[in-house]
Amino acid sequence: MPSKSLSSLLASLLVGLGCASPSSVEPGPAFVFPDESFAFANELLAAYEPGPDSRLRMVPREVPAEYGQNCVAMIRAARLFHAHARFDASLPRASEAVYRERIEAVLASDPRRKRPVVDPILIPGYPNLYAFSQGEETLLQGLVDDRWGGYFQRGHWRMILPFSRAQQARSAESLLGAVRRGDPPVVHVVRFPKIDINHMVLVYGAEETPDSIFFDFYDPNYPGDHLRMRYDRARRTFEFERNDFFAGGPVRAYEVYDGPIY
Amino acid sequence: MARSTRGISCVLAAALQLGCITGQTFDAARLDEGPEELVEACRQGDWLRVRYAAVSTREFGQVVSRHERAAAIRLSDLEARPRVPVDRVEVLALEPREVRSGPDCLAVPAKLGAPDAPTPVGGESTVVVPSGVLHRDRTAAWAYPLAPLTLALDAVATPVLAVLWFPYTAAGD
Repeated sequence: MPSKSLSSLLASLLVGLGCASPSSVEPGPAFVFPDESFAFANELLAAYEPGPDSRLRMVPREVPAEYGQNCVAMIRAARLFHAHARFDASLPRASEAVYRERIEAVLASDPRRKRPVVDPILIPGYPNLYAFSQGEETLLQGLVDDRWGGYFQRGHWRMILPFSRAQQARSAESLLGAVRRGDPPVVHVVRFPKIDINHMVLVYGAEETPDSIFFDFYDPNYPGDHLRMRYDRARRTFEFERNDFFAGGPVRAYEVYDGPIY
Repeated sequence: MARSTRGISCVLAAALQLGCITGQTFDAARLDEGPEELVEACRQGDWLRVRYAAVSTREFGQVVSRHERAAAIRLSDLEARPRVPVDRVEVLALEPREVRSGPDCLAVPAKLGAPDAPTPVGGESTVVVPSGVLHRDRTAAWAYPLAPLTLALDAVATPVLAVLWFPYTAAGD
């Protein structure tokens, strides 16, 4: 597996450095939310409560999470289903074995592919991933489960380096461009070296105002919820809203599953 | 000798540019300065010159200091429709003493507001200055004395990280 990754990395580097890759002029199909997301949630492993400094601190959950710490696996999978799968509700439902085989084929595909391929893997019996993950929840949770793999996402190296305001401004423009091109970006949201947020989301929409850019994103922790992250043009800073595990406020954001080194 | 010195300098410069310890230190010292209140505003040609009370805050809003500031803002950018994004409005920093209304700079009513605030109708029109236009990036003073230490640490740490980067990136998903 590492040798395969190494060869694909080297090949990507060679292509990226040596040749001009063809760029598609036509925008890709938009990521349709919530149809192309999972209906089940990535659960938090701990509960959170406000500390004396108004930040949130972890406390043990009363009921252990059954399916959690999978934000990377779920966002990766959502991107893969967007690019490599086609749903057809007019076909009869298949057996669990068939679905297992198809899901595994989708998950083994290239996560850096942002637009649908010409020969997608057919998922019969369901109109979209949302319905599929309602009907086949246990099967999907079993296969989209890679808690340790999340720590080895290739682009994680970037989080230990500082993010300047200029870099975040470029990041915002890049995300805006990606959304408009129909290349739904996967975004790593961090505050390293603080670890009060280390999360992954998929951005599918954007709205510009004179002082902000609002990014609509799919958060696997909140299935079906329409959520927004704000980029403050003046401060050149992303802001993540308060939720169950983050007290809200400025964060750093950058795209992953994008190119050979992210 | 000169060539090797230059080579080492280049490698060191490249390593320090990545500078994760220095960079993270300065990132932690990041301050945002924004206007609290306009004290005076006057118009000189296509420029609105403003003197204002500014407040510096840490990232999560804790107030660090207050100052008097001044700036010249391109009026045609403020008046453009659709609105010009706040980070693209042309602004020049001035000394507060440079903003005094008089024959050369005619006093005008101005107020801070949201970029999409409606322009007041009737009477003397008030110029609405979006707060974001007067934002300035600042760095807390405590970061600078630490720079020699963090740069020295980066000179050691960054090449190590650069070596580790290859296997991590090659084996990573």
